[in-house]
Amino acid sequence: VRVTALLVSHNGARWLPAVLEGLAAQTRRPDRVVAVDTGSSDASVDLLEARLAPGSVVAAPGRTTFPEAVDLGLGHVEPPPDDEDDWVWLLHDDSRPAPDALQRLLEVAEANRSVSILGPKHREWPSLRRLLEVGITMSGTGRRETGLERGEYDQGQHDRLREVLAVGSAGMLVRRGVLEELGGFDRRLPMFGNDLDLGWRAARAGHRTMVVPDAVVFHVEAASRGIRRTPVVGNHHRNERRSALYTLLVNCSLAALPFLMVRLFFGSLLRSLGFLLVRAPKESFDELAALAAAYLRPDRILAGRAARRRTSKVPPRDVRHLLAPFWLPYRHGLDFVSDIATAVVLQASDASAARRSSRAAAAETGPEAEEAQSLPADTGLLARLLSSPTAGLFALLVLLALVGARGLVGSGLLSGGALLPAPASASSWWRLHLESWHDVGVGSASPAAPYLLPLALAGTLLLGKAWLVIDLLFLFCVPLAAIGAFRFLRTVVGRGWPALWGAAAYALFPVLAGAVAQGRLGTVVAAVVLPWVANAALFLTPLQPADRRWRAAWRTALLLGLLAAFAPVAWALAAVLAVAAFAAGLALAPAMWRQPRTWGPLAVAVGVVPVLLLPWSLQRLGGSPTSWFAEAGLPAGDLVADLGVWQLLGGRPTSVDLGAAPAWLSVGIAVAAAAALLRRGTRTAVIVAWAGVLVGLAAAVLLDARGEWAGFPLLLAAGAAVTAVAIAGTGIGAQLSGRSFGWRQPVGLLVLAAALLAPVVGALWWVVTGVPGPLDRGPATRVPAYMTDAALADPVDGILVVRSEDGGLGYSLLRGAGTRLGEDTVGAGGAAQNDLTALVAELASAPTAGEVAQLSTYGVRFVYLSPPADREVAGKLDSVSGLRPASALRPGSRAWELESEPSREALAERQSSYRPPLLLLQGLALVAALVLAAPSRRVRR
Amino acid sequence: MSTSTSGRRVAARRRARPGRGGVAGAAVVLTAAALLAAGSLVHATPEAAPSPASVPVDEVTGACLGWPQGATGQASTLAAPLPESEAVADGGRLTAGPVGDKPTGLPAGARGRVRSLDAPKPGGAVAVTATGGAAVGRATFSSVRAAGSGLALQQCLSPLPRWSFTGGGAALDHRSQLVLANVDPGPAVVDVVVQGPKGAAEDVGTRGITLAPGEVRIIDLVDVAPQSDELGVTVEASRGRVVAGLADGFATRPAAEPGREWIPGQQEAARTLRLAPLPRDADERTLVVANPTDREALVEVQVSGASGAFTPTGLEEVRVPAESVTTQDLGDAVGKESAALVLRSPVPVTASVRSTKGGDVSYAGAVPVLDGPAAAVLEKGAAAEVLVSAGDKEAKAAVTAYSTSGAKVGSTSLELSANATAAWNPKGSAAYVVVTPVQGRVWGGVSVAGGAGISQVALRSLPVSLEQPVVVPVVR
Repeated sequence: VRVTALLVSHNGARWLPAVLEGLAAQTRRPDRVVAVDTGSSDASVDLLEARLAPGSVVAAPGRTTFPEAVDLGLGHVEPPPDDEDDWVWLLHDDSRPAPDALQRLLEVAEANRSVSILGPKHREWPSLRRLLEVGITMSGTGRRETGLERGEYDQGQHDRLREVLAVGSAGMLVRRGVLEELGGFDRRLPMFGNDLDLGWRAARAGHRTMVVPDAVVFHVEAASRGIRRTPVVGNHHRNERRSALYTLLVNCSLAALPFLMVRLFFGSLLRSLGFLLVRAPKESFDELAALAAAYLRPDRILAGRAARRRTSKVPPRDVRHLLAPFWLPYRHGLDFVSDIATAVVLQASDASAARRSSRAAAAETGPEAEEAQSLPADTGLLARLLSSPTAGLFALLVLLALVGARGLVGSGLLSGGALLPAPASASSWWRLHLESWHDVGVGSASPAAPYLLPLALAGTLLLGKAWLVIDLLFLFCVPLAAIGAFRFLRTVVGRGWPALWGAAAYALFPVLAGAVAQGRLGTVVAAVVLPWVANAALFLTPLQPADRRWRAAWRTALLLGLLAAFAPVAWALAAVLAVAAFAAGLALAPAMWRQPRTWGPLAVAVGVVPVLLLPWSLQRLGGSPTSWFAEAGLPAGDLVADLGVWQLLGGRPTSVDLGAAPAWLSVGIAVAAAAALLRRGTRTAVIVAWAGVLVGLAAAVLLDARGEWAGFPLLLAAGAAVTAVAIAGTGIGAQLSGRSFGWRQPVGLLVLAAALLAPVVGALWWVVTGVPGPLDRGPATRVPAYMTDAALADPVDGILVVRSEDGGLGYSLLRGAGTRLGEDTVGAGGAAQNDLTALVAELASAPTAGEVAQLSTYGVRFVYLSPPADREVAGKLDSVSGLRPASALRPGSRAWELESEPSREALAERQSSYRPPLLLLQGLALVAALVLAAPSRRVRR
Repeated sequence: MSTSTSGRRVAARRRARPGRGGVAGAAVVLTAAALLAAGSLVHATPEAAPSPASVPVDEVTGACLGWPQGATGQASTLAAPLPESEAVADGGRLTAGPVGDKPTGLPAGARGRVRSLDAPKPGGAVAVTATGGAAVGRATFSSVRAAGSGLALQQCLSPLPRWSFTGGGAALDHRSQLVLANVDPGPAVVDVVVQGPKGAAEDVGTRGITLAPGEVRIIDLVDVAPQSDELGVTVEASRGRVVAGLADGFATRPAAEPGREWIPGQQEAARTLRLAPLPRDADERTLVVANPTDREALVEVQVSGASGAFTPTGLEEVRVPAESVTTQDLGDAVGKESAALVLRSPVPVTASVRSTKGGDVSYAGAVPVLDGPAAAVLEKGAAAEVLVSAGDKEAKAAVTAYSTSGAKVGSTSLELSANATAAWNPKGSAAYVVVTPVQGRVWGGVSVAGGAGISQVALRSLPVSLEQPVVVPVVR
């Protein structure tokens, strides 16, 4: 028996001495040692030449792959005499064999003459105890299966001599003849998976491979673990995956190939998505790139299969028992999900434990009161509510929300003012967002407003119950806003009373401003989202590490996109603030702020938003800039009041008689915000907060001049004012008591009292008044049910609803049970709408049979006059041919049905060719932003 | 030593100057104050409400009601001459015929020419429909004349969903019959409410009266509210529209042959009523006021006389109980001068003035202010008088008389001081008059008197253009 040890090295100087020592210490020494060095730049060559016989070291170029290196090494060893049993023992420069490794391998080879490839047990180096491999195989997804648990200690539990599909190349003992018969390692597998492939090919050629657990090799796996970078490794994950796909596709049976190609394609997509979900974007991309690399070169697959056909001697079924069972990938998937769930639970448990231990540590700083000693241990929610001011505040706000919303509880849907009733299901929102053509009114190809996408997502999470989304937002917007505000203020001023006060003062804005009472969805959602945007934007400052800033930039962009979806003016104001921040940065630190890495995150945070709001934003960017002023929901201009000084100071976009609380209730916050500028220690931060106040006020004045709802600008101003007060209020008690008595103390106390009382009296007003506005709960429409049923069954059977408006008539064309939230965003406008308006005017003044017939071309089956029906109009419609009276049960209402059939052409779908790509772009942008906003994850093997 | 002194000075200077933060804080406060000031001063300018569009009249249908029984008359129609400023389309069609029958096409004829029509039969009605250019300025009148039973002129009006009549009766010497005609292709359902001095008369038979297309229905008020001298009648369609008329027979002396007149209808009760000017030559004048509301009406009466407005003594306030009818003898309050009554009430009321002359009767009902030319066909052989009243400001109206062929036979310009009424008597050859408001707010009527009796018709703006309501698409 002749054994040639073939050592392949590349920049392995840190391990080579030990490897060479291990080689030298073998109880059965190899007959010859040949080393192939692939262009090492460290001392590897010197070490090899110093320890090996002269002429044993072969120098190869730096990009030489492992298969090429093996071929090169074999070429350096003269062929054996025909009668000699010639073996090659492959070693890596990071694999140290145990002293008896070769001896054990040869013993088994002697005892099993039919075995052509033998492999040792791999243990981790330098821990020396953990198992890495005891034979390997491959699953149907291309995964390298070792049959071991991660980090499993070697306690002899796998020490069973057995036949396997393959063994790792480190320490592999292979008959030279077999190696040459198989053509060596496949050169298309330069680094990863070539050992598996060789084993698989050997098995198909009728050779046996055995793992010898008594032989041990300690392996660093430097390339796999990323400890060593070589030109051949390249993109580790991508190449590893590409090799796995290649190995599977070239070695599987012909019958399994089509199935496997489909499975691997979709499996790779799924894996890619999975990597995204666990915030590993790089791995996700590598997955797709590997798939593309494997599938876009079918010639390589065909060539590989042809080569294997030449050496195959046994059918694939004879090898199948060596492959991993079919269910193994599914078990891995289950394990993966379980791991994540466990990690989440453990993280929550750890956080809870940390909180408790921190509280316990705080409590232990003083003597424990006798009463406290008799209290039961903190084990439940009640105890936490009683002991935690934060939890207590939120519990109180939830309670207040329940009391304040007492008038809005019952059956029916929330609607009124600027709010339309929610649709029957969240799928309506999905359709409005995704479809290019909408069967709404006269039909529309307009893109839906961007806020439908988050509403659809939320509705889907709530099992499709769209009404629940709206109910939760309107009934619990105060506690929801408080959560975000507290989180933001905690970051700014730390955990304490100022943050709690600020959260309460800010969170009451939607109810005190009348946004809830008027059904202003935009302002209500903005109140919930704005603090999160501000919180994310806090990490955009150049003081943060670059990685954190970039992640904050994408997170801010996402949240700002969400905010702008409901209040588009938020994007414009954010742009103004970003420009102001950039200008201030240039003035204070020009060298730093001229660098793209400084202003880049800021630009991304604002600039990406229009892409996230596609395709709506494209339409709006091409239109009037003022179209960005309108918030989500109906304009409801009749519910907007002229703003006075008091309303601007108190943050009231409307008047008391239209649903707002008296402005003086909140003026204390404005006074305190102004007084906050007087405190020197916090003045810079307070001025930054005041920038938000000024921008918000300016926008509110602008919107007021246009007669539009200024909910979001005043929300921004109020939030910024609360932040200024909270910043200046940190430690204000000590500040005031620490000074000698003067005018500052009484004035400061007065301001402090005014600010502290503002949320208290605001909450009292809320509790006493409830929701005093047009928002109410009731049926979605009062049109007769038989009409809406017909319209729901077939949208062409539309209902023309006409009602008396101020000095004229208003009409709507219903295609179902009333106009629902979101449909208003794609409805009115266009030539068809103008034509229908003119037709309705003619029908209301001097109708003719021809005009009635024309109505059917718009897909109208019913005409309904809402009570009180205009007698003149009703009489004229009664007098005209083509309409027959229909049932209208509500007193004062009238209804007719057209005698002619509604035209199917009325809602003939007109496809928009540019909508699908824009939606795709939006989807990709959202996914990309989500991935880039998430903390990056490095996948470790 | 000198160094330390210098250092103290520097420190003192630093304390005196505000820091950068202080300046920025002051700038912030000033900016906020400026924004607050701007916010309180700058507000949205309310958008002007869109005004209704005016389109040329394309179709006009009027119905001439036949006297319930025992009398026939004549009817005539014309497309009145219009001022040059009114662009009139050419062509158009004219059809006429008994309601319920297929109408007959007629030559539209030249503008200004009077065309005679078949008079409606007793208990029937004749519908006149004009389209296109023939509809513009179309006016149709009918008259009932019977020896010893007075003269009754009637303007053939378009169907409406609501009518109100004041001055009817259901007694021996004062008996009225309501004539309803449905000229539309669909059915009409009407409620008839009758109010007397003792309140509303309940009758299940007056509710939900269905008139088939082309049907004419006569309701004798004696069947609804017997033994009632003075009644107010309201016709309200819950479906469709009708043409309604209240044929009134009023005996000026007990047991005398009653005089006849169509009581003019008004569409809605109103707080301010301008009644048509009264015929100057009358024996008696009685103001009849109906209050359809559930609150008492305190009605102020003002007379627009020849030289201006005055309130006659004793007529300062007329009390009308809720849901009832009150009469007030005008006595000598008006005299022989040109006069019209204006009533003002805190609750909506309807009213008319009954004038008697000899054995005949006529009614001056509430009339609208003219917003364009108005026409009235005169009764051949009877003396006609055109009466025009002015609103609160000076006004001016042009009156032109035409022959049946459309030739101008006389004209005048009536210049009226505020709240004054003026009269003009056209020549006997005049077949009709056209009154055109030139300045200010005017309203009026035409009264005729002859051997057959007296009658009067209100001046109503001719159908020239149509106001389309402002229509806007709404979301919910």
